[in-house]
Amino acid sequence: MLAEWTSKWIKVFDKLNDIVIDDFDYEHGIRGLITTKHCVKCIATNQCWFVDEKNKKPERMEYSFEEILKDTKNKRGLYHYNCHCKEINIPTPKESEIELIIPEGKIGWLFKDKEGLVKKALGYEPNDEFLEYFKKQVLKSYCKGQYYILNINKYGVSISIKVKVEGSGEKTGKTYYVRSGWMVFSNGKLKSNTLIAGWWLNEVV
Amino acid sequence: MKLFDKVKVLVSKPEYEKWGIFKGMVGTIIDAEIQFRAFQVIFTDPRPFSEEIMYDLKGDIVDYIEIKDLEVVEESDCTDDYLLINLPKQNPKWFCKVEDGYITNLLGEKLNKIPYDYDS
Repeated sequence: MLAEWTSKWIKVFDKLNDIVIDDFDYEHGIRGLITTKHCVKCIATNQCWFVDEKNKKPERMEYSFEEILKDTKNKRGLYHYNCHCKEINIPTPKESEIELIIPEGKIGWLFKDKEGLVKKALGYEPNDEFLEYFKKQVLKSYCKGQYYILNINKYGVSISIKVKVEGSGEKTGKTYYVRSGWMVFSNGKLKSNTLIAGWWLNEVV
Repeated sequence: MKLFDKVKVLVSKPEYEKWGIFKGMVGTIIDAEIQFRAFQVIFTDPRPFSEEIMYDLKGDIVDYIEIKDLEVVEESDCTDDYLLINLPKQNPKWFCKVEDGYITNLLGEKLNKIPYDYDS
């Protein structure tokens, strides 16, 4: 309980909706129509974990003063009128609780398209050893809340994570920060959009 | 049209422009599965990596682009087997290719009813 009080993390939870972004129609493939019964934002965020800070969690609906005074039977919900979603405090996630989903193709893309950056800029060989190191760094950054939300739409919540990479080989002793793009899935799962999208504001420490 | 094909964006739309994606830009399909009749496409700086310009290279843009707004400019040699291992839970029912105007899955099922009308 104490861990929940001191944590800055929340989980969005809609007790009337079992559908989550990552598995709602995997049996048949996403056909689109399933989301018409629910608000897109409510599905995209249901059971997802976020840091309880601006730009790190979906924004609440801001009701104007007039709307608050208005006599209406509709309940003012988290994201819209009559929204069932709630923010529930959760303990700060441990790295072991986060599941990274990385399709093979994204790994191949990293090794091929980002070969120059990985090799020449960071000093690593683009191989499985680097991938494992990079995944650990992603987990560390995410659990520290070093990310911001890029977009929320019917495809889910996309975030950009600031990943710290210690230089290797000729780059030993230098520290780099790169951007890594992910979709937030339910209950601690992250699906890779692009493992390395570029520098984090060209920041070199 | 499938994973790793190079594709050109045929239209400009506010939802694409918001992320810096404009008509004529060429990107690469980076996710195997089709979601909501769209592919996830990555747009990278076309300049080859070199240490001299490495901090000037533009960061990647990743977004979902509707199939009707895309045209293949270079096909990849991605096989059906490779597509399958890249699909969520390796489910062959996921739509993942566009062939002869039809959005299809690895079982040969078609999503759109009228060829080249990807909303049908």
